[in-house]
Amino acid sequence: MVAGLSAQSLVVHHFAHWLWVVAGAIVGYQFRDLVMVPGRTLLAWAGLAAAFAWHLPPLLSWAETNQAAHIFAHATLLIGGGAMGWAVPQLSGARKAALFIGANVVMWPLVLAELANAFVYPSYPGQATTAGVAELVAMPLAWLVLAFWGPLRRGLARPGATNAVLALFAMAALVGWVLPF
Amino acid sequence: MQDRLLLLRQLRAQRVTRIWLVTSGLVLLGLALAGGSMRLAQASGGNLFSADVFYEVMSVHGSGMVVVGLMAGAGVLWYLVSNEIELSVTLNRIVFLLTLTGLVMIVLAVMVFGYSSAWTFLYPLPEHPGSGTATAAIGAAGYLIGLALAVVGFLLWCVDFLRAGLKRCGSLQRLLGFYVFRSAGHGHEGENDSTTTNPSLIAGTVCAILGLSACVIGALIVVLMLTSLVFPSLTLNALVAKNMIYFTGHTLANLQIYVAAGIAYSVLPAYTKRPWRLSRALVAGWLATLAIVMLAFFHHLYQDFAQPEAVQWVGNVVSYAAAIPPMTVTIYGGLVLVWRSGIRWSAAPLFTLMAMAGWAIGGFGAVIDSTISLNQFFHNTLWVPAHFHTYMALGVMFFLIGATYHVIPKLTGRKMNENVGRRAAALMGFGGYGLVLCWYISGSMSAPRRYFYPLSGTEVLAWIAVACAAVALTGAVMVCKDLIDVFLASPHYNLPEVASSLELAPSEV
Amino acid sequence: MITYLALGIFLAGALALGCVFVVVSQVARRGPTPYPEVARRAYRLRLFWFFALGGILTAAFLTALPYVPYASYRLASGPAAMHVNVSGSQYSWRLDGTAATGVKVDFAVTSADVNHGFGLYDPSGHLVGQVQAMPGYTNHLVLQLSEPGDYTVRCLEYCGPGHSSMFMSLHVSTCKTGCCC
Repeated sequence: MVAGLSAQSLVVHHFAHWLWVVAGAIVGYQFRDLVMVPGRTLLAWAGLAAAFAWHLPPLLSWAETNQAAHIFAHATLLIGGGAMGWAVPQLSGARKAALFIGANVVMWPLVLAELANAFVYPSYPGQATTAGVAELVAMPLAWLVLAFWGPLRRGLARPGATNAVLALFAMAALVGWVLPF
Repeated sequence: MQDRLLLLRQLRAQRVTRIWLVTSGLVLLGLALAGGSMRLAQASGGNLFSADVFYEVMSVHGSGMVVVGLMAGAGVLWYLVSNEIELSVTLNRIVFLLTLTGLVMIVLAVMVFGYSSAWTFLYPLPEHPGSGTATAAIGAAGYLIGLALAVVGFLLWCVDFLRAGLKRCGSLQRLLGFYVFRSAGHGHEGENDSTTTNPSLIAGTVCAILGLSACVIGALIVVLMLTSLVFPSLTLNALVAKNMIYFTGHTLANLQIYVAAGIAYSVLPAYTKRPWRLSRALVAGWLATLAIVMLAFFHHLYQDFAQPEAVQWVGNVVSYAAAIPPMTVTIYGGLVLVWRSGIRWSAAPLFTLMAMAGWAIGGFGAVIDSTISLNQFFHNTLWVPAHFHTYMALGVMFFLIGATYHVIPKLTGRKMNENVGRRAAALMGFGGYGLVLCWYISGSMSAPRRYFYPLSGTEVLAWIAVACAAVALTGAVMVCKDLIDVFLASPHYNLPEVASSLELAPSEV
Repeated sequence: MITYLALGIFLAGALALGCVFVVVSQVARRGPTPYPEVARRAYRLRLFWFFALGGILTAAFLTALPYVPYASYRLASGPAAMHVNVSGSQYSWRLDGTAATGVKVDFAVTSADVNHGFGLYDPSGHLVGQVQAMPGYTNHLVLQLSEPGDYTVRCLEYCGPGHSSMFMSLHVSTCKTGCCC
């Protein structure tokens, strides 16, 4: 179902990408204290770059037309999300802030280009503006998540909470990919 | 040793802020006089100087006011919070030099090379200025580079502010005061050394985050337009360019009032002897401001029907919402702070209160203009300069003048003349409101903005506006003269009494 | 004329705000009253003020909603009967088509060089509608004019030193039944 909707709607496709990143982040978060390698800051920024890169029309078109590229795209989103989930909790407050603010700053040229139809996605003719609006709505939501991150994190830290979220994701993925419509 | 280092830092901060204040005061006065000459030129029906010169003056006036107005406020806010967070004095000096250099380049680009495409530099106007000036392309390049320097300057200010703030507080959440939501009562119980208790710090942080976004987009569009200027075969999408220019321009212009609000949080309590404390409403208001200021710029593009309709509605809703944080937090809080406080209305709190009135009234005019169905009748008429001059001249400038009266004694050890200040407040108040009233009325009569002559039926209003501008400018000159006199008469730096035993050479400061 | 109504509302509001500030500035000199006492009452009042302001803004938004100038709204009740192609360039307008009263007229506006603003002024000198003239885009301004006579087309977006001289006359005739083309 998700695959079918993603093929028709750029907004759904971007949302599906975001879900890949979040799923990866949740997995990566579990390994934050178990895997100790240097370069957390660099990996966090690389994860962010992977999430943004697939907004660019040439890359998205390549992934749409080439099956191997499509698998590669999903893999980078998952791994990029995992890198962020693993690295970000261990970063200092300042580096977390830089990452968050940097994400917002990079979002703006992307959003403006989508809104003004300067980005043309051949597989999604005329849909760039709607996708831009969706991203515009997502930005203040991201700020709200930052504002309420304390309670959210405490909620996720409860025993079983993370497992429940992962299970929910797995079920949604199964249902979404299996359902024919 | 630690005391000596701290004192040296304080004195360097003093010195750089004094130079900021005096330079910005002179420049802003010059730009205001240029604005007055534009009003006179319009009223005279194009007889004072040619259209080319008129629009060159307009380009300098607009660009200078936004750049210097913002940096002057940022400089004062920097000083007011520099004891709370370890801001870099060296970087502040670099920012000052970049801003000044950028402004000089803008002035040269306009006055020598004939740039006249206004401070909004809408693509592709700088490439096709329509002025017939042979050096217009050099002028355009010079203008864009000058603007880029100023933008980079503010970008550095924002980065340093965030760096120092995060160093003190450790995280963005603590810097923005989110701990208040975890505390009981009004949220004060959660304070500790690593949390911010100063509303000015929160204001500065929000302005720094917004400024960062605006400056990055601004630098990007300037680079793209410069590239297009050098390689004419490279064309930009006019709508993307317009969005980027208005995102940068609106945000930076709008930030002036929010920086000024940050200053007011430090100024007013000194005269009411009441603290301006953090509260849930204040923190929530600034978080809302972060989202609102980022999204409100769409109201500049209502008449661009090629924009997706969804963002037009975002612009309308968000622009309406922009009224709520100031009217329920900062302005309301300011009125509560002074209510039955036994305050003596010296120049500093008087100008600050007048500034809040200007913010409220100008904001009301802005909300009317930001209504899509009314905007089709007000957009690009004189209503637009009416509301933003109420906001800027009678809001931001009054905040800055109030702040000047407040910080000058700390910076120089000498007070400015209170009688001059109060008289100037009366002149600038009456003259200023008279000036903008003429614009509001002319705008409702559909008189276009940026016109070289008054529309038929508004000629009398144009002359009344000139008279009012003259009254307001008289007050401005009085304040500026007093500022220069105090600056010239004051010692090299203002040593607090306890530090007089430390022997400091002037070269150390 | 809606602009005069808006001016009236603005002046009334500005006067009211001014009075508030004058009254507060005078009462401020009295006291000092202990701040907790002042703050307690004031912040209870603020809650009421917050909802009142929100209500006023919501009411204003909903009232203004039906008068939106976008073509999709104005053509929702039927197509335009007349079409005028408009092209702006430094510093003149080119109009191709005619306009009459009582029917929808679709002004298709573009620019040959820089941004201009197509502003239509009625015979008594009031702005009846405007739209941006942009290079690479055609914007549609749909108006139904009620007054016949000589209208003025003015440029409302600064386009260079000749901006103020960029205007021309457009004669709008009375629409006779069965003949509006």
